[in-house]
Amino acid sequence: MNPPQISVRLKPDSFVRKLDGIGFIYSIGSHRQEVFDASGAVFLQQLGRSFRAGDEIADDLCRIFTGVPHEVLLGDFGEFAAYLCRAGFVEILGGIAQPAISPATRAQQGSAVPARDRGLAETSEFLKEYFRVHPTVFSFQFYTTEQCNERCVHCYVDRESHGRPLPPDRRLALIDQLGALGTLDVTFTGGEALMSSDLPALIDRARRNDLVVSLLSNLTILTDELLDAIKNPNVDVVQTSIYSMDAGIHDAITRRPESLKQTRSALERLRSAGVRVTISCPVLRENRDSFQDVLRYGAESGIPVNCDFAIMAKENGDATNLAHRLATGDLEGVVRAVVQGSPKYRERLEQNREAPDAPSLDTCGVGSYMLCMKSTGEFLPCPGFGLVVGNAWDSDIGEVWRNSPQLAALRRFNRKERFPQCISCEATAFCNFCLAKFHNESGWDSGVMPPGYCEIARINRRVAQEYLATGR
Amino acid sequence: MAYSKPVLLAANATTRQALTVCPPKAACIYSCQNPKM
Repeated sequence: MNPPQISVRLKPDSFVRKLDGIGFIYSIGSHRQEVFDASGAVFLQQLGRSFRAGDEIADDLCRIFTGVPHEVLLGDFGEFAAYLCRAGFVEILGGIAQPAISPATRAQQGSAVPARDRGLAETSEFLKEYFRVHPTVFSFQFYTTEQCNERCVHCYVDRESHGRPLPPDRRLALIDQLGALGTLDVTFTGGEALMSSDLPALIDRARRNDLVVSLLSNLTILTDELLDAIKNPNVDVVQTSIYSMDAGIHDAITRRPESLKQTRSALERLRSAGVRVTISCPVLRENRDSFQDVLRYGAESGIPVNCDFAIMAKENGDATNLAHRLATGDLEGVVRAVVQGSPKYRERLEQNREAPDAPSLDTCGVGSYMLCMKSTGEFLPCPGFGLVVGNAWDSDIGEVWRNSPQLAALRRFNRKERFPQCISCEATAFCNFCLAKFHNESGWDSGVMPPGYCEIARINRRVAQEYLATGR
Repeated sequence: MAYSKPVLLAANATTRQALTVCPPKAACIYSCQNPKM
């Protein structure tokens, strides 16, 4: 009797990418992400948004893996699909395929489930290393406008126009370029992204190119039309900034009356619509005594809150906004507030009891997997990093990525050489080493760590160790 | 193309997460909300 026929398709929130020699699959719903070898990459490529019959897939696989019997590939693909189904990446119609080959042949073919149990790498670490060797525009951040309806005291964005904004058709064409490059995700940011009248069209174009979409917005002008555009299966997360639950403090930072009320109201509407949201909470002098309420609000409502204690100077090198940065004497108090106010952070510490002393000389993804573009077409290594590495008026994204001398220099960056003080530092596991921040203050390759960064890491380590030793 | 059964090379970890009170790079509030890296 013939084995039952199966049909397989990707779930609407699963995404597949074939890279050089590996395949990647990601689920928005579970944030699960896995990497397979070259054969797995070919198998993953067979998965689409519509159901495909196992037999048809096995036919295609036979044309790629010449000489391998159809029934072997059908069986192996069935097992592969069953694994992906259990992992929540795909949907299967019909029974799980049983390979129509003899047990002896199956034994020769090895394990039934495609997994390397031991020595399995962690995906983000694996990819970081992979992209260091194979630079790829995997993540793209798009300032849809530099204009904003808030005037946050600490803002790093250079709102002055340095050229003509790209017209709407060029913006859509750039999304198509990302699709062709195999980019996984695009983040729309600003300025205030919701002020861009073509945002729904950009999100739709990203969906047509099978890109994962994230949105950074203050949400104050969220209309029903925009909400509908955001309720899109490709939208992963919407991030908004809340500085304090005290409207007086929040609105004084944004310099927009009623902004906290508007942002919170929109946040609730998004949550009700099933959109995943997160809160960013830069901590400044102005909210150092009240940001703890934002942590509490996040913990109570199940919204992740991410803080930053070292705000970034402006992209144009203007450092006047740093007058709002926390003073050194404030740092211990705010670090303790996170340890006390964030159950998730404490959980992370508990799970990593051995890690506080482990050295971590990572840098980040600039030049290896991320790229950013302003509305004028200027490419930056990442958001906020005030170094122009190319322009979309002259070149497409791929050309800039391949040919930019600035990106090439960033790829050669060696932390141990440029920042030798990090080698002997005990607190690297607590260090948020950020070349964008360093660049805007002193130049990314200057070797100068701006004041306060090392202090935060050392204080963080000390407070974490105290917590692990005493539970307080 | 030479064939071998697909092998899983990397998966999410529940441990070895960044320890900074500031978000790990994965959730850096500036660079993006890329959950992947």
